[in-house]
Amino acid sequence: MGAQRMQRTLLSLVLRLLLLCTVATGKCSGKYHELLLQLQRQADLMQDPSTLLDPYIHLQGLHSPVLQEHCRERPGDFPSEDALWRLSRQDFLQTLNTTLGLILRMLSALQQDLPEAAHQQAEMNVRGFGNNIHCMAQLLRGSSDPKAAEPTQPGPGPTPLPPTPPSSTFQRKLRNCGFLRGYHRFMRTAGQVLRGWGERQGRSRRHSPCRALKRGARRTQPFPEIRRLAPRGQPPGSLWGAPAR
Amino acid sequence: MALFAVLQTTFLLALLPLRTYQSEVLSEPLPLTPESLNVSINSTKQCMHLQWTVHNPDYHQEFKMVFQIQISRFKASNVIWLENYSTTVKRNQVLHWSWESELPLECAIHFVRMRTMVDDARIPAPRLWSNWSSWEKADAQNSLGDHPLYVFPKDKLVEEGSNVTVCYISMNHQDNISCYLEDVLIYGRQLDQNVWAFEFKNVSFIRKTGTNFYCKGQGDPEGVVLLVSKVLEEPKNFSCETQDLKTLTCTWDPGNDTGLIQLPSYTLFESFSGKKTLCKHRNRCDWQVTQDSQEMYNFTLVAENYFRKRSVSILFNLIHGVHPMAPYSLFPKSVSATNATVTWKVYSIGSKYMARVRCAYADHFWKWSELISQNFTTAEAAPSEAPDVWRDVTFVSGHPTVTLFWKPLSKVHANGKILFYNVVVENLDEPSSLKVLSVPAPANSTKVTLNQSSYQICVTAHNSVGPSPASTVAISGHPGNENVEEGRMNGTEDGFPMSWKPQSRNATGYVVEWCDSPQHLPCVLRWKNLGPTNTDTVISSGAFRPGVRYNFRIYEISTKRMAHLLEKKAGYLKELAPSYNPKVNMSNLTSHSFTLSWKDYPTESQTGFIQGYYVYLKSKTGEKCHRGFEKTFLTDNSVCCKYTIDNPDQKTFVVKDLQPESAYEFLVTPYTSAGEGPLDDFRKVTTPDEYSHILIHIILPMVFFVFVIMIICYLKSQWLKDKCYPDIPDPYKSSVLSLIKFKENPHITIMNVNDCVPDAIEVVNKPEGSKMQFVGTRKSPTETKGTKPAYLDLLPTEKNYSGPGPCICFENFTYNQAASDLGYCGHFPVTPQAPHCQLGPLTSPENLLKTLEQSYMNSLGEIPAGEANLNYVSQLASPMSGDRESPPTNPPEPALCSEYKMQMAIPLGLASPARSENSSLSSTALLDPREHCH
Repeated sequence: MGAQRMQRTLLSLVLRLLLLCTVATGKCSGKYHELLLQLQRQADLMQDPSTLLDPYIHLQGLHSPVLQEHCRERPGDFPSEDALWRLSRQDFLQTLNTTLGLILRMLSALQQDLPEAAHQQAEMNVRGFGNNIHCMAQLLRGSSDPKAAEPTQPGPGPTPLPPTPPSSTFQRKLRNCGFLRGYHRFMRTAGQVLRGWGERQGRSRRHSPCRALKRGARRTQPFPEIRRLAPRGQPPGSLWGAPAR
Repeated sequence: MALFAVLQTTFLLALLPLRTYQSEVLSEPLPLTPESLNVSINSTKQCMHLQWTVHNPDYHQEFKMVFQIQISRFKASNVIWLENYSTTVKRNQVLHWSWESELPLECAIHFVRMRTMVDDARIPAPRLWSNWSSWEKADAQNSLGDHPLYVFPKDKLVEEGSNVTVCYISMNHQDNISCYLEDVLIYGRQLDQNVWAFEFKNVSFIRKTGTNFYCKGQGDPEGVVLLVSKVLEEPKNFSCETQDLKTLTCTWDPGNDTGLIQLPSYTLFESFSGKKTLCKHRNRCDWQVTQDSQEMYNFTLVAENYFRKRSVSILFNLIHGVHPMAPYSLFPKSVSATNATVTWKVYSIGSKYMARVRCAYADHFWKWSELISQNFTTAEAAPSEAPDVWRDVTFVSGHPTVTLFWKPLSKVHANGKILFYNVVVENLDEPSSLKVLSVPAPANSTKVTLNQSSYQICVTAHNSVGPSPASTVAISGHPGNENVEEGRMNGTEDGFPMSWKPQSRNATGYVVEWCDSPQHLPCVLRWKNLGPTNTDTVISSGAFRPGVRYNFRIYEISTKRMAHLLEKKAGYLKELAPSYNPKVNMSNLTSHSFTLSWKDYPTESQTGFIQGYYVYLKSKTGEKCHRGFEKTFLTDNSVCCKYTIDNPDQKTFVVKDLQPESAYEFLVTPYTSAGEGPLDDFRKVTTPDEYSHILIHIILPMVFFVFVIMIICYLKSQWLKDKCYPDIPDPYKSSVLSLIKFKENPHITIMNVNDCVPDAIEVVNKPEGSKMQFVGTRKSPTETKGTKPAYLDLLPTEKNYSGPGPCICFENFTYNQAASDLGYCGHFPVTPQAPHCQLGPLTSPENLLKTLEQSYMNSLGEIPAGEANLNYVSQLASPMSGDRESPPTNPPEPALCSEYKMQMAIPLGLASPARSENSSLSSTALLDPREHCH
C-alpha cells in the first residue's frame, strides 16, 4: 500500500511538472465558495442526460423501451456514490480528476458515434470541470483547512478502467450507452458531494480544505492518470471507438 | 535407263523405313477422389472456404477436372447447393473454392462433400465420377461461447435496396424470444429447433449508425447492426477554375451522402500528365499547375466506395477558367464635381482585363446602377523566368550537332507575348567567337553545329519589353562517357519511379530525359529538371502507354552547366504479353531433328522485357514429350509440349529426338512478365525418313556419276568401240588375255594357226545356227583323248580350191557348247571377190603368226585348267597359214584382205587340256559373203 502511494505521488509529481505550463497559465479564483459553487453548477450541467446520453441514444437508435432497459451503468465503470462520500476532499478531487481523464478518453473514442455539437460541448465541459478541480486543489493547498489532512476512508478502489470493448457493434452501442449513463450518474453524485462540502462547511472536519492541501492538492492536476487509464494491450485511439470498417 | 534405276532405288528406299511408332496415349485413369478436404468459415465475409488436393501418381502434367461440390445444411441429406467447378489441375496441387452464403454461416451446421471427374480431351470416354468424399462438417457454432442467445451476421455492410437474412440461435432452446427491427416486433421462420431466420428485402437506409435488429429472451438482448449504405451518386457540376494560374480548384456536387461513417473516396486523374491526387474533401480538390506550360487538362473525378465506383470527366483549358482574385488598393483620385479617377491594383495573371463600373448613392444605399464595362490591356513586362532549356547532342564526323529545346514560358512568367528566343553560342576556347541566333516564337527548338571546342549556350525569351533571364547549357566538344550500363525498372500507376547515385558533390542539379513516344520517330524529347538535393523522382506523363519501352537517361549537371550521363534506365509503364511472335527460320531438317532460329527478332522493341521463349511442339501422334519439354494445354484444349528458354539472348533451338516421317507443328513465342505471345501461328514440318540422307548423299552422286559416264561414253563411243569391241578385235589386246593369264591355266592355249591345215573351206550361206559341213577334215591329236576338238583347217585343198582369190576373209564365231560339238574343222573357200583392204597387218604373215603364237602360248600357259568355264580363242586367218608339217600346196600369196570377225567360245571341257606345240584348237568359221570387208 505504501509503495502504491509512493508511486502515485511520484507519478503525480512528474505529470504535474509536465502539465504545469499548460494548465497553470490560467488564473484560478482564490475564492473558495465561488469555486465550489462553480464546480457544483458544472457538475449539475454535466449530470444532465440530455447533454450526452440522449443525443447518443437518439443517434444510435437505442430509444426503444427494451434497449433502454438494458442501457445500464455497469459496476466498476465509475466510483460508487458511497465510495465518493467516504473520500477525503483531497482524495475526492483526485478521484474526480482521474475519472474525468477516463471520460475524456471515452469521448474521444465516441466522436463518431455522437452528434458533433454534443460531443464538443461535453468535451469542453469535462475540460472546464477539470480545470476548476485543479484550481480547487490549488486553493485547498494554500489554505489551512485541517479537514484536508484528516485521515481518509479507504479509497473507491482501483482506478476504473474502461471495459473490454464488445466484439459487435450492437453490444458496443449498449455498452457505450451504459457508460454514458454511468457518467451522468457519476457527475450527479459528484455534484452532491460538492454541495455537501458547502453544507458542512465548518460543521464537519472531514472535508476541511486546510488540512487536506498539504498532501492532496499536489496530486490533483487535471487528468494526471490519462496514460495510466488506457486499457492494457489496447492502443489509446481504439478505446470503444467506432469499428474500423 | 539410269533414271529408271534411280527412281526405283528411291522407291525402294522410301519403303524401307516403314515403321510403326509407339505413341503414348493416355489411358483411362482411375477416378481421382479429392483428398485432404478442409472447410473453413470467414464470418466477416460470410464465406465458406474449401481447400483440397488431388493426388495422382500416374500423371505429371496438367489436366482438366470437374469437381462437383455438394453443400448441405443442418443435416447431410438436406442439400442446398450443388455446383460443378471446372479447373486445370496439376499433380498434388492445392485447390481452393469459396461459397458465399445468404444465411449467416453461424446459423447452421453445414456439410460439404465433393467428387471429381477427369474432363480432359485426352481421356477417352466414358468419363466417370469418382466416389463422393466423406462429408466435412463446417460448424461455426463450435466457436460460440456460453451466451444463451446469438444473432448473426455481425455488422453486415449492405447497400440500400439489397436483401439481408438474419438469424438467431437460442442455445438453451428458449421459446419466448422476441425479435425487433428498429423497435418493431417481427416474426421469422424456424430453420431448426433453435434457429430462426428473418429475411429483409429491399433494405433502406435509416440512420448513419446502422439499423438495429435485436432479440430478447430472458437475459440481455442480443442484436446486430445492419450498416446500410445509400447508393453512391455520380458527382454533379464538376468544374475547375484557377485564380492565379498556379493552382487549379475543382469542385463538384457529391450528391447525397451514402450515410456511412466511412465516406467515399474521391480521386482526381489528369490523363495528359498521367498524374492523380486523392482529394481531401468530398466536394473539392486542389491541383497544382505544373511548370511545363500545360494548358489543356483532361480531368476525371472518380468517386468510390465499398460497392460502387462513379466517375465524371471534363476537358479544361487553364486559360478559360480564370477566376481572378479581387482587385485591391482601390483609391479615388482627382475627384471633381463630375469626374473621379479611381485606381486599383490587380494580381497579375495576364495583360488583358475588363473593368465594369457601377454606382450607388452612398448616403442611403438603395440599389446599384447599371454596369458599364471597358476592356484594357496592361503593359507588358519582361519575362520573369528563364526558359527551361535542354539539349540533344549528336556527333557527325566528330563534330557535335546540338539541338536545343526549350519549353514555352507560362503566362504567369511570360508577362506578355513572347516574340522570339535568342540563342547565344559562345566558344569557351575562343572567347572572341560569339554566335547569336534569333529564333522566332513559337518555335521551341533550334539546331547548332559546333566544332570540337567547349561551348556555352545561353537562351533567353524576349517579349516587347525585354529578355528573360538566361538559361545556360554547356557543351563539350567531345562525346562523353556513353558506356553506362542500362538498368531496368518497373512503372507504376503514378509513372516511373527512379533514383540515382550522385557522382559529384558539386552537382548543381539533375536532368532526366526521355522520349514520349519512342515507337514513333522522330523522338519527342522530354526532360525534367531536378535540384541538386534530389536523387530520386517519379517521371509521369500522359503520353506513357502500357507495353511501350521507355528509355530514360539521367544526367548530372556540373557547376559549369555541363551534363554528364549518370545512368540509363529502361522500363515499361506496364508490361504486356508480346503481340507477335518472331519469324522462325527452320533449317537442318533431318529425320530426328531440326533447327529453329529467330535471330532477327528484336527484343528491345517488344511490349515487355523478353524473359525468354517458349518452344511449342505438337505431334500428330501425340507422342510423349521429350526431355526438357513439359506437357501443356493450349486454349483449344489441344495437348502440346513446351520447352522453356529462359535466356532472351538465345535465339536458336534444336528440336531433337523426333520420329522420322512424322508430322509436327512448332511455334516459338516469347514471354514477358505479363505472358506469352499469341499461340495461333503453328508451322508444320514433316521429318524425312531415315534413309533420305543416303539418297541425297550417295544415290544422287552415283546417278550423277553414271550420267557423266554415259555422256563420256557417248562422246567417246568411237574410241570405246575401238577399245572394247572393235570390228576386228585384236587378240593381243583382248581382256581375255589377262583373264587367261590370271587363271594361269597351263592347259589353255591359244590356237596356233599353223596347227590348222586349211585344206578346205566350205562356206555355207545358212541362217545362223545351221551347221557347216567340212570336207577333208582330219583328226587332231586331242581327238584320241575322248574330247571333241574341232579342227579348223584353213588351207584349202587342191580339190575344192576354186582358185586363187584376191582376199580371204574369216569370221570368228563365238558359240556355245553345242557349237563345239561339231567336231569339225571347216573348210572355207576363199572368195576371190573380196575387196582390198587392211593390207598392212598382213604384209608379213609369217612374222605375225609367230608373234601371235608366242603371245598366246604364254598367256594360255598361265591359266590353270578347270578354272575357266569358257575360253575365248581368237584366230587370225591368213591365206598362207597352214600346217608347218604339211606345207601348203599353193605358195603363199599376198593377202589382199584379212578380217577377223568373231570369237569362238570353247567350253573348258572341250578345250583341249593337251598343251603341246602341235595341239590345235577347233574353230568354226562362217563366212558370209555379205560380211566381207566393209
